[in-house]
Amino acid sequence: MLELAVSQILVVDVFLATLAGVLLGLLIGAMPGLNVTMALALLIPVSIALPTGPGIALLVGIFMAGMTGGAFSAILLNIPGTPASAATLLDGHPLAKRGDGGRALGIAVSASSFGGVVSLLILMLVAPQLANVAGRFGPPEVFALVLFGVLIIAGVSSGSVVKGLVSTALGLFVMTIGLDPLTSTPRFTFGIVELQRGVSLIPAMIGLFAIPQVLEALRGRGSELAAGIGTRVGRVRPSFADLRFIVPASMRSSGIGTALGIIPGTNGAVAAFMAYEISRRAAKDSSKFGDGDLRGIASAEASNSGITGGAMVPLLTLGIPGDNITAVLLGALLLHGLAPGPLLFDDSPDVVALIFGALLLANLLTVLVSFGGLKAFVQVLRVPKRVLFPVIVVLSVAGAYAVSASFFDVWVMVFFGFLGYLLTRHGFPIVPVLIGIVLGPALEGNLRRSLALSGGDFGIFVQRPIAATLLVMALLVVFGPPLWKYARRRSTPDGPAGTGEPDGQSASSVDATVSASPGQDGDDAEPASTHQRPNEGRDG
Amino acid sequence: MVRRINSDMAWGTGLLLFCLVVTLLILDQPAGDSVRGAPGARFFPLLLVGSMSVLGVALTVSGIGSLLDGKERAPIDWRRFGGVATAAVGMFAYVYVMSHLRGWARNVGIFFPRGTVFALTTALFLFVFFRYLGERRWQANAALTLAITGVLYVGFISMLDVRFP
Repeated sequence: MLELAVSQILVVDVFLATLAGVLLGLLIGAMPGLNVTMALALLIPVSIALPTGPGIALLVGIFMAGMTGGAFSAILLNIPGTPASAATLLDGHPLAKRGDGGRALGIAVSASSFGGVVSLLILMLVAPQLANVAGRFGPPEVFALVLFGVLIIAGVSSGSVVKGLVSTALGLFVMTIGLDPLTSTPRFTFGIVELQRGVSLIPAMIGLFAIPQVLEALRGRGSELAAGIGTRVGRVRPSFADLRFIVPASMRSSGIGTALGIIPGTNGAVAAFMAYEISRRAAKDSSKFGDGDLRGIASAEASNSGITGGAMVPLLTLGIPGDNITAVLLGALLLHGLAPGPLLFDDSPDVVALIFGALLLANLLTVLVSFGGLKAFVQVLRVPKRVLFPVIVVLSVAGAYAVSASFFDVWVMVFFGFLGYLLTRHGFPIVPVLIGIVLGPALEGNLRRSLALSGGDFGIFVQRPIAATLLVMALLVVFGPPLWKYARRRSTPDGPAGTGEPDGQSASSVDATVSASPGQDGDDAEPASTHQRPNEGRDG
Repeated sequence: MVRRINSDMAWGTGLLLFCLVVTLLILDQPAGDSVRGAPGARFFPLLLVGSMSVLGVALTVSGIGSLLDGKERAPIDWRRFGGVATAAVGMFAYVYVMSHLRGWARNVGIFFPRGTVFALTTALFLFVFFRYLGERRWQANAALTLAITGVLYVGFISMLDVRFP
């Protein structure tokens, strides 16, 4: 398979199409207000106009490089370019604020490429066997896994588990708007036709992550708006010592991302946060996680790139997209006259080889283009804030409109923008809102399918060992830290109340998007670091 | 005695009210049929609302606890929200005008080619916003506005074929 894959990409038009895809992907990923899914959707007409090989290579190039490009804006602007890069900003942006943005970017690119190549090589060797295992995951297991992922993100994203859960619940609620996927019963549509198709992810994402940044910056109008963002990138190529430092985290996270990518319904964000949390817990010294630890960046990026290869397995072998991006790729493959599914490997092995080859080539080209031209990409972000922020607003409007040429999506974007701002001002993380929106359909769908299997008996989740284990882990994530904190408080009755950090609680609690930290009661507070340490007295 | 309401209490109470309203809306909507034993359309929203109610209570209690612990808050500086309010109004106006200008123009017999409304409203928005944020030199402001609008027009409409008004 490897030989066939390499032979597929040693064709001039395939190579050039992949390169074009990589350049577009990095550029689009780096620009706040644009995103990979939209770019893929908009470029499908271009892809169809090309022969199958270059057409698919173009989209694969955008797919791979866009995941890496998302890290650029996550690190430099604190705005994730993709949901998967939301974990990258936890450690990437603090480094950028200290003038080490280049180092963070170099690590992100290296780890991303590492994760992509590792996952691809693993998949090329074991794809049939992995597909067999994934095929045995039933709705209860997928539900439990998605719930676990959702709760982990709620727990990690904020100093307050309660507020993280509220954000998650809001996101999950948003996804119930529209036609019920199983029965087509309208829910919360109020007779509005546009609401019947539900709330589109892209406008919601743009609104949640782009608009609050702009609004928060406007609270402090003044000289800081004349300054550029992320102007100090510095050396980009990582040192050997840095690379050696991140190898264990990258390898572990590549495996996590690959494994999770195989399971439909999970996505880069779940993998990134899970890998991040596992790396943090595995580290001997995790004190710097959330404050610029290179392993945090590497874990997130290796995992979310690892998932790209993993997500291709259910797509190619089962015809089931692993996430939104592969859903768009599925549409592209169908439009090219291909039928993803079990027969694809037998009927069109050359196409499978082409996809694997393009993924491999895109990984390598992303590294070369990034290290060779990253400072040029970053120049885009050197413009003064007073120029950048209005452009971000315009790009957000344009990006939201471009989804389906509808102003309804633009109003959705504006709504989520102000919702995101309000949430952030009062200490609620907004990453879980996005995760709730992305994973809501998988969570609800698999829950209801599981109950259909069991005739309404919730015991099915206990009877299936994998599902039961994951649910126990999910409960530990939610209730573990507060119970631990309560137990410690009771065991030291003379200690300070409400302070100190239980060992089980996340060491780095981050309100991940805006640079001002709201006061405890959400009132106007002095701008502070993005990072909220547990001993700042947040609710637990 | 609780004399002041803090953010957590407000959010917690608001969440409880939201859950109450949503519950009434859910019960008002069709239940939906169960599909082969799977719960109907109301099931998941009701589950969420139940969870959010618990969270709302937790937030409210947490807020009350903070007050009783005597944690003071700084007074709100409303002046700092002027920029946010202005941006909000500006954004609304930008989107509203863009979405309605073509219709208004058509009513008076003016027909804009595709993309023109987007370009005009975007240019106006950028010019005003740049000025508001401190770009006093109108020539530089105008040049920047035209350049950015031109790039966006070419990028989105010509290259990406997005059907802007």
